[in-house]
Amino acid sequence: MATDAKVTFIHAADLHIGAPFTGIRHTTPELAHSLVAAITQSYNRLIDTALRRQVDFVVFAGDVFDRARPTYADFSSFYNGLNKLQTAHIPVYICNGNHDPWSTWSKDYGELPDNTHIFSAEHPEFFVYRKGNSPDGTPLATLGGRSFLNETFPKNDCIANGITKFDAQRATRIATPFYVGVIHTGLDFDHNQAYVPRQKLFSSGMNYWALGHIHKRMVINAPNGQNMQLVYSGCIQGRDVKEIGPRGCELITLEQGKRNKLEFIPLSSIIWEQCNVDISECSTLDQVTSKIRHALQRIDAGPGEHKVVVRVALVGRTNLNTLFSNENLNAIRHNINEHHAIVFCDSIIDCTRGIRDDATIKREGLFASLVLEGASWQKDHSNELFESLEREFAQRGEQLPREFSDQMQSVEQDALELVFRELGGEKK
Amino acid sequence: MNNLPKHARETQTPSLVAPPTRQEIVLRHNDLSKGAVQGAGQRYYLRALHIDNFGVFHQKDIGPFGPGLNVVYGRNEAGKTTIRQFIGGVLFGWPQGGSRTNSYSNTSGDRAGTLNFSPRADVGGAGASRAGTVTGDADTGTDTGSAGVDSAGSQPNSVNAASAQRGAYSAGTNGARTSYGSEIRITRTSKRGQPEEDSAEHSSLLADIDKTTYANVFSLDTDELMDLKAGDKLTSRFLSASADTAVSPSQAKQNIENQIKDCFSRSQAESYKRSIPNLKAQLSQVQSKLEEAEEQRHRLFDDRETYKNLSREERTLNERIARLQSLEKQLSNCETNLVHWKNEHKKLTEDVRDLDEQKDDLTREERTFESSHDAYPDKKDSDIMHMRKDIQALRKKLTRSEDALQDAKTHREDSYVRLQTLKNKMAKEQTDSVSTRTTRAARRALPSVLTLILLAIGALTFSFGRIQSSISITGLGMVILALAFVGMLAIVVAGRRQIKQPSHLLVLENQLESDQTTFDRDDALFNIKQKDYSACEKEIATWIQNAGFGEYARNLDEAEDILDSLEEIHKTQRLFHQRWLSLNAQDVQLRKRERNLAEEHQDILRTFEDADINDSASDLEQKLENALSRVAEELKLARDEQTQNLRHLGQLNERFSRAANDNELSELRLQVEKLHTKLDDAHKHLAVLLLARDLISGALHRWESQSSPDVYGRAGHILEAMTSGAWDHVQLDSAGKIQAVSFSGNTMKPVKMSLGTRQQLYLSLRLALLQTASDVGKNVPVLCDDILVNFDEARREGAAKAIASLAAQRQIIVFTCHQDVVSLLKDVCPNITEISL
Repeated sequence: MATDAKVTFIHAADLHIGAPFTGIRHTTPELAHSLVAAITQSYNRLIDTALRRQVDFVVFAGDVFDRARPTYADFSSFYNGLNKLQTAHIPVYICNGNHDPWSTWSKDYGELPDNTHIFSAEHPEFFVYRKGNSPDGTPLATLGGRSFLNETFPKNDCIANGITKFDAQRATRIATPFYVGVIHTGLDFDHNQAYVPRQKLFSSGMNYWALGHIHKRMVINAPNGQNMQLVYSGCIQGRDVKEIGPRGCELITLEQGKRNKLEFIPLSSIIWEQCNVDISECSTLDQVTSKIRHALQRIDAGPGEHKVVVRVALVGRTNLNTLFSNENLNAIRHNINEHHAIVFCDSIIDCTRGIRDDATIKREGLFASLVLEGASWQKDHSNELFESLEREFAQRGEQLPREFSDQMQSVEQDALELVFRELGGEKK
Repeated sequence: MNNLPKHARETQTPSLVAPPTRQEIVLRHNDLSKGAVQGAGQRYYLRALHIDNFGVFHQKDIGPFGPGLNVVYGRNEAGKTTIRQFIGGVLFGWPQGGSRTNSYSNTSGDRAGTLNFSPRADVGGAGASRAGTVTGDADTGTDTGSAGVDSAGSQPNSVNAASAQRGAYSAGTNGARTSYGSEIRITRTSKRGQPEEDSAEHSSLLADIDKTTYANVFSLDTDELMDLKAGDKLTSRFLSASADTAVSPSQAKQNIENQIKDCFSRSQAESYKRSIPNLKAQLSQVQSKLEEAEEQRHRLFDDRETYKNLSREERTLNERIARLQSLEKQLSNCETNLVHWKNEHKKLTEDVRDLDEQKDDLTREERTFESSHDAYPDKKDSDIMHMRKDIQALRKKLTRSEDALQDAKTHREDSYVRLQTLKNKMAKEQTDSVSTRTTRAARRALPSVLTLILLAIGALTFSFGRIQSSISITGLGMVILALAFVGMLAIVVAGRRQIKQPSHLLVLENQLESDQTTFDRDDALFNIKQKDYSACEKEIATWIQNAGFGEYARNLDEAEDILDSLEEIHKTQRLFHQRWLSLNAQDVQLRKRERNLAEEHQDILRTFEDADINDSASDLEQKLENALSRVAEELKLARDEQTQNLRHLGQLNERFSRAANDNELSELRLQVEKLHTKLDDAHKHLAVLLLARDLISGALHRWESQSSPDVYGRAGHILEAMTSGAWDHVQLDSAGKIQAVSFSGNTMKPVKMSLGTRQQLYLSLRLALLQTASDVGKNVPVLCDDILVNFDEARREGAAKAIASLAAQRQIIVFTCHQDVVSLLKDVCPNITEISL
């Protein structure tokens, strides 16, 4: 061989095209517009990057779409992107995930361009990539993967079964310099979502595993210096306030005789941040406002053209909390957003606590101490409380929010604060 | 604050106003005067009341009352109950009228009136306040016994400022003599018992008492004493109102309850925007729009399928149209070919007919010719040539012979004639010789005369010409002269010739002999020649006979004619032959054309499948026409379909291009998520409220269970005293219901008690409550409306003592129509204030 074989590709996953943003409370029309366009913009950046960096192929490791089916506009953008890659002779390899299993692809999404290959859902499938995506190019890489047929992967089958270098060679009868695995899995983090013990992947003989399902970028290096990584590329655009930090895709370079090169490419249009602002020292709402402003200014927007949306939580001990009505907080928020171009505050949450000296209160043994006693009783009986809350909600025909049981502690804290606020508040 | 519903949560600060400093709070709270009264020490008592209009009263003043025990004596229908209702009405709203309740409206006008409250002189002390005392400085630094108001530093300790602010009121009631520095007047004037906004003073005066508590605990009549509604809750509310917090826990609990209620408010006011039902309503609104948009999205993707199908159909249609078009062309070509063929066929038919006619004509001509010319025996052309030669030869011979004969004949004749002539001449000579001389002379004379005339003319003309000097006339004259000379010459010459005539008679005889010889010779020749000629003629006749012309020709000419005719016949025959040849050639051409046409016909049949080999041309034409019109129809249909298809495709394309820019669905989904988040927030808030309520309820429960024993203990004491030991305990049973315990330990539920005992029990409870929570409703008088009627004398005394005991802390007004009750009360409490109606 004259030169060592080399292949570059883009690995992305969890695009969730068409899924709305969750956990947002307030938007301006401008922000709403940005949100609506965000994922598509990120996707377009991905395509542009692929073209600019002249990669050999692109891999999507699952959850390209969402249970919320994409709008026509979104789907057109996706399709157009694939077409652009096709024109540049860049093939695309896709495996289906739990949010977009094969059963929905085959029904809804029509025919994709010829350069798009989807891994089978019934058995592991292998594709051989030839240089330039032409039938007489040298075979450079074999991709092996498996798709989700339905929204859950059957428990009695392991999604990584049959995806090894040996299986690849046997199935394709061709030897290539590189082998890449593509699956959508919870690895050993999530036992409910296509569980795969990582050792299995380490011993598969592949050079690189392109994984999907976890929305935060994660690189797991193989032990013993083996030149193999299990990589979650993370989503290309955070879709919830909790998905903070930059998001994008991975640009991988595999080269014979060298270690695999991984490069993170940020793609998001909107980056979420969370910011805790301690307002214990503030005594007026104006001071609170300026403290928040300073905190926001310190947020580093990072490189790239994206908006930063911040969830501000007020923390600390203060007795100003009686003034933290929704209206006031909204007014502060509007005030801040008017003066800030890059960073947008989507909501301000009051997590402050009242100034209390619990020891003194207990000592005085007055009504307030009874309240504290009750609070500690509540803490010890969280589960019962949870169930009784469920019942009370059910009585009123309501349902507790999802994953509420995890929040019981903060709810109890809030209840205590509320009681004290009411007791110490101004009489009507 | 005055315009808000009682449990509104919002602060009134529309913009961000810094929270007030302590001093500011003080000053501001002057206006609000919240807490100015509460907990800070100043206590009031009802000094007097002025009824503008209520029940039987009109412009009536009642009072002055004392801060301790008061008794109002009035007979039946004097208005005791009316007064009690009036006090409650001014404080909490006019009573609602109904079929069973009295609204106390009358025809004089709307209900209206005023209560005048004065500050107490000695709070907590035995009611030694006299009517009309000023209590200007009673409040400086006095601790009213409520807990230190250091809750969060927001409570004002500012009654000084407050009272200073309010200034002096003149009482305006009957009997007022001194200025009451800080008197409070409560006025109510609204119609029909509608709750009107209470003034701040009003609220602070009432502080922690609401209408229910007032009705149950403060405004007592025998009916009330039958029960203590919501017994333990009431107790707790009562007791919790005396807790050490800035807001009474039961109030706080109420606030929380109200907030819980607000969570489910359906009000459209801005402040209830986040209530669960409103959020759900918004959500369902957006969700129905979302469903529509999702439907639309679904349809769009269906449209993609449709588009693909339509495109395929379009291609198929194109092919079909192309095929139809080529078929049309084919058929139309066929048609043209057929027309062409028809024309050709027609022409051919005509031509064939022509040819046949020509053939017939020719045949006829031939036949006619043959028939008219078949007489002669035919000879070959070569024979004819020989024969002609023969004829020529014969003719020559004959002609020669004839000539010869003719010559001979001529000679003979000549000779004969000469002979004869000579004979005649000889005869005549004799006669003629005379006559000729005369004529000769005449003959000579005539020309000489003429010549002389000519000469004369000539000379004349010549001279004339010379005279006239005309050359032409002269010339002419010369010419004539010339002629005359010539003539003269001629005469001369002629005359000489005449001289030569010898006598010829002798000559004549010689001649006669020769001529006779000649004649004989000629005659003999002539006979020979005639014989020749006859032989020739015979030869000719034989030849003609041999030629077979015997019947037809008599001589050579005729024979030649026959030959000519034969040649003519032959020529004509050759012409006929030529014509036949040409006709045959035409025939061949026509056959060829016929074959071509037949081929064309086959072609047409081949190309046009409906064609039947037996079809005539017009049948074919018809079929072709039919086929063409069918094809045209199909084409039209196909083209129409294509147009429709294209239109449909265009519409779909438009829809797609619009949809490619349409973000409505995404925006709606985002809205739905936002609402879900807010709903989750609302639910979490509700959960917090529920937990808070449980927390405070629990604390309240414990609070009350700490102090309520106090209440029940006291009630037990009071009951014991009242019943002289018959009943000595009041407690709650396991179900939380009140029961009394007799001295013997017998527990009894109130429902089982006698009327009197029951009332005593509930009175004891109330008195105990009022005693224990001495601060609650400290400004409000306790009104007892003839409550002792069912008590026997001993118990009446006990009750009176208990009441008097309470009067040391609270203002009590007893209404009665029994004089002995008045006396009893007077005995028990000497400081009593007595008022008669």
